[in-house]
Amino acid sequence: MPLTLPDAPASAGVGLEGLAVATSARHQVDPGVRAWVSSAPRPWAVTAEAGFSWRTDARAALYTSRTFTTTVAGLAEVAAGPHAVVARLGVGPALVVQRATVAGGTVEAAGWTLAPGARARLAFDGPVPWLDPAGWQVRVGATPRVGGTDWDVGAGVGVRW
Amino acid sequence: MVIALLLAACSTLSTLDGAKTLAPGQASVSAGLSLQAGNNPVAQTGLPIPQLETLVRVGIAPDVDVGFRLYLLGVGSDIRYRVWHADDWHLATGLGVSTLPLPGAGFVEAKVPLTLQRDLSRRFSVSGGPRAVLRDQWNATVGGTITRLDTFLGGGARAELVVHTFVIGLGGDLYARPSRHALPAWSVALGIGWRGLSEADRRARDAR
Repeated sequence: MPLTLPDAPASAGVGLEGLAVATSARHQVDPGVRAWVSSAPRPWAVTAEAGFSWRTDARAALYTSRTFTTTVAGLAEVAAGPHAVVARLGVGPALVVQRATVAGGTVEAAGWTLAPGARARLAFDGPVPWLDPAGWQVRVGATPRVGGTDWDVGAGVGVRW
Repeated sequence: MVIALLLAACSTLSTLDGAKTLAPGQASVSAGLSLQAGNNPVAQTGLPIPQLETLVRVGIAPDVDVGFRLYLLGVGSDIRYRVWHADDWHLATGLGVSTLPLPGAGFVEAKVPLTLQRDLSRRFSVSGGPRAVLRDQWNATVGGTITRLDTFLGGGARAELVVHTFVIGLGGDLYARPSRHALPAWSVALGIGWRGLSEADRRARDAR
C-alpha cells in the first residue's frame, strides 16, 4: 500500500502556537504565529515555515524586557495517510533570529542573536469539511539551535490545492 | 510520604498500545500496571514507582481511534492515526495530552508517538518506535510556584498476545531527558484488557 494517496494536495496556511524553551529552571510559554507552505506529498515533500513569537516581561519594578523570536526552516518530509488527513514528518535546517530589548529608567538596551539549528516537526494536514479548499493543520515541533531547544505546539488554517 | 508517592506515581511514560487502530465502533478496555523511574522529582531517587493506568479506546473512523486514560491522580486522552499498513505491517502516529491538575504540584504534557507494528501471527504482534514528550510541570514552594519544562526523548516497545477478545501485553519504554541532563527515565508495563470484535471480525467468525 502506498504511503499517501496519489491526489494528496499541497497546502499553505497560518496558525497560532505556543512556543517554549526547555530548561531546568523557570520557563515561560510564549504565544506565536507560524506560516507554512507544503508541496504535495508523493510521498516525499518539502515544507517552508516561518514563525514569530514574542515575550514581554514587565514584572520587574524598574524595567521591561521584550524578546521577539523569528524562526525560518526548510523541511524535507515524508508524508503518509490513507485518507484525507496526511501526517507529515519533516526535518531540516532552521535559523532563529532573536531581538531582545530592555527599557526602564535610565536603562535602554537592545541586541540581536542569530542562532542556526535544525528543526523536526510532525504535522497533520486535513480538509475543513464543506469548505473546500480550506484546510487545517495541527503540529508539534522542536528546533534545537545554538543556545537551547525551542518546542512548539500549534494549529492553523489555510488552503489546499 | 504516601501523598508524595501518589503524586510521583502519576507518570505517563508507559506504552499500552500498538499501531493497529480499532475499526469504527470497535472498543477496547485495558489496565496497565507499570514500574516507572526517573520521570519526576520524587522518582529521582532511582526507586521504581508503581503506576496503575486504565485505558478505553474507541474507533471513530477508518484508521482513526481515540483513547481515554485514567491514571492515579491524572487523566489523559490521545488520538491515533494509522497512516500506513500493508499485509501484517502497521504504522501509526498521533498526539496525546495528559494532566495531573493539582494546585500544589502537577503537569500538563503532550506526547507524540510513532509506532510500527508487525503481526507475527493472528494472535501475536510486536510493536515499537520513537516517542517525544513535552511536559510543563509546576511545584508550589514556600517562595512561590516553580515551573519547569521537561522533555523526554526515547522509544517504547510492546509485545501483545490476543486470545479471542482478551489481550495481554508487555511493554517497555526508555527516555533520555535532554533538558535536565538527568539519568534516563524508564518504564516496564504489563497490560491486560478486553477488545471487542469489529464488524470484519464478526463476519469472519460467522463465515467460519
